[in-house]
Amino acid sequence: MDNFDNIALKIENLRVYYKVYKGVLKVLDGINIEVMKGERVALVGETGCGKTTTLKSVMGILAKNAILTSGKITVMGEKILEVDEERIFQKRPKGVAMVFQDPTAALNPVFTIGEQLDLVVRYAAGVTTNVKEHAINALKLARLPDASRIYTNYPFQLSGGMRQRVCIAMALAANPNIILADEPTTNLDVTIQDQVLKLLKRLSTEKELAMILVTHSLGVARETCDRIYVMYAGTIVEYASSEHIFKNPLHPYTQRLIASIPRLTGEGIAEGIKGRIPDYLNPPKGCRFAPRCEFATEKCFNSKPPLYEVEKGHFVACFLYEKKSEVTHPNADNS
Amino acid sequence: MQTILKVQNLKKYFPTKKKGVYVKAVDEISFDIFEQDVFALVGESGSGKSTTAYTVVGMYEPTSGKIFYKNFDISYGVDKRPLKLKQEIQIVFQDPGTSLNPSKTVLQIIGAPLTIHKKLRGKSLIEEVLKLLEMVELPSDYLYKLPRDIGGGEKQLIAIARALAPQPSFIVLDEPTSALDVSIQAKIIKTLLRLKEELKLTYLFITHDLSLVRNISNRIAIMYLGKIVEQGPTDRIFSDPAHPYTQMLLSSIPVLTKDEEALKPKHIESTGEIPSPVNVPPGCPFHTRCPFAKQICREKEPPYVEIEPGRIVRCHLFSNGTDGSSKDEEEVQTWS
Repeated sequence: MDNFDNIALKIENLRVYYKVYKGVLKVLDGINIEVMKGERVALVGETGCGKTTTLKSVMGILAKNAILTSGKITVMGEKILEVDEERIFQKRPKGVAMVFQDPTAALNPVFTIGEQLDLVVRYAAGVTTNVKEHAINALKLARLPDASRIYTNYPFQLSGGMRQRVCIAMALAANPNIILADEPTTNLDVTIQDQVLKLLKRLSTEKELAMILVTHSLGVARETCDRIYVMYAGTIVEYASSEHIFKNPLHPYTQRLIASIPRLTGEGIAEGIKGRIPDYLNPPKGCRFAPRCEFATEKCFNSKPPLYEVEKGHFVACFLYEKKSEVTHPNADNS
Repeated sequence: MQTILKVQNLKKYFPTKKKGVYVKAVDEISFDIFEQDVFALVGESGSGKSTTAYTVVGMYEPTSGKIFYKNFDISYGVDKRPLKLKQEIQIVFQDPGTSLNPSKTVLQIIGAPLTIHKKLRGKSLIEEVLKLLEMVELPSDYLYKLPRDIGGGEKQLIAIARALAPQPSFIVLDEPTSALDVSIQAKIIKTLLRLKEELKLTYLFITHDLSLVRNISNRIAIMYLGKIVEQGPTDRIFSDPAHPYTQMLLSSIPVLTKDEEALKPKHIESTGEIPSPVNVPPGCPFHTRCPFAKQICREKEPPYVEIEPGRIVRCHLFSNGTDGSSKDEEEVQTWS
């Protein structure tokens, strides 16, 4: 965090709202994320907490009804998004590739894998000679057996796991510095998930790729990533190294979430979390978790908690830790 | 322990467009479920676990094989089953978003089985529905809500209340929480376990989540491409997985703690793809991915071997030199 040159991706105070018939959904509420070069970061949260919206803002592929109200995104030192009072500056980032959740929907069913991959090699990587060779190499990198056959196949001829590898190959073919993986294994079986995660991990180590892995599974995050950001209802509630999050979860939400996960050791089933995520039309004024939190005080309902650094590199947005820490995060001022 | 459901050599084949070619969704499986147990059927997509569940409920008629419920033969479709039997066996589906009629209120949804099985109407119907809502811990103002006004977890609770309405003793739960977030899953599972104790229910729990099964079931059967590859008591399967596929499944689970890490088999790594159920490999269907595969695995179907009391594995590694020719003998031993 000290050296600015080491930052691959920086998201500052990102707020994204969606305009719908009923009003304005205030989804992202001041997100701050930093990813170092070659670092794997997980963004963990439950359905509807804004994980995908965050990634889409980086890629510049937000839906038409999205409203950017504040935020700044830098990729490899280059500004790609800045919202100020008068205008919104936005451009497509270079060197960022995305792997989507559903490989069946991400691939065009009427073109062969080769035709789709060639386009990426030609236009995203800028290769004009030996295009096919580059494409087949990308397939081989993604550990696809018999790459030259797959090059001529249509997506329907491949299994789900292979399609996801093709999507990873396609992301790699663009020679990115950063990979954004949006729940890449949610649609896959557990044995295939294991293979795909190991592949992503190995590739990011070998090619020194920075990666944001969006997932709802803490187990996947722990086994794949160096650092974990826990999201709840459009806010980052806690982040730390994968080790610290599990050793010493601080935020009540993180604690309850970790406790909800059934264990292989067979300790029974925990209570879960009461209630549901807030209505984005009219989100809580203070901490967004306060209505479901057993420790909530009046302060929690009235003002947003800043991020407190409780131990080195371990930040939590919760008033419970107000006294225990003196240093607050520089980006903590959310107002 | 009394056996409540007995499945014997159950087969369910589906015809394909090609004549004579069948998808062997469920291929000769046998298992027993004891009263007030939670029996888990675990497997990945295409393993035939849902087909098994649907055949038990009667949504499919078995191609061959027998299903016994409390010693009554029920191996036929739901349209031929007597009303009393339909009342006894209920099902909760995976996705509450599609298993509840979007144009009906909660009262109508939960009330339907009550009017059919209990002939309830009017005030007594509403009272009974309120009782069911209370059982799944939902407030009474849900009575006139539509499914679209309710969250995913609460919808699943409505589906559970509907299954409970005719007072069944056996409920099939087909991945009841896989469409839900973990924090909500915990609540649903808690409710299900509480209801099981209160109402003395028996569950057939279908899932792909081994960590979940570890915490709720008494016995497990693990399915792969239409076959049960291993079955036995939960704690034994987790402490000492026998079949290579069980080991691969366990080693693939992403876990949270070092203690859990220690439980995962280390010497095996997930490789290969799940073959299509239309074209199941000859011999042992798992040989294409198995690191211990021998010549015999590619040629002969492995026998069922009882390696410990109540623990059956379908693998040549445990057959002690007996080949497929003695398969029938083995089966008789195992299933008698």
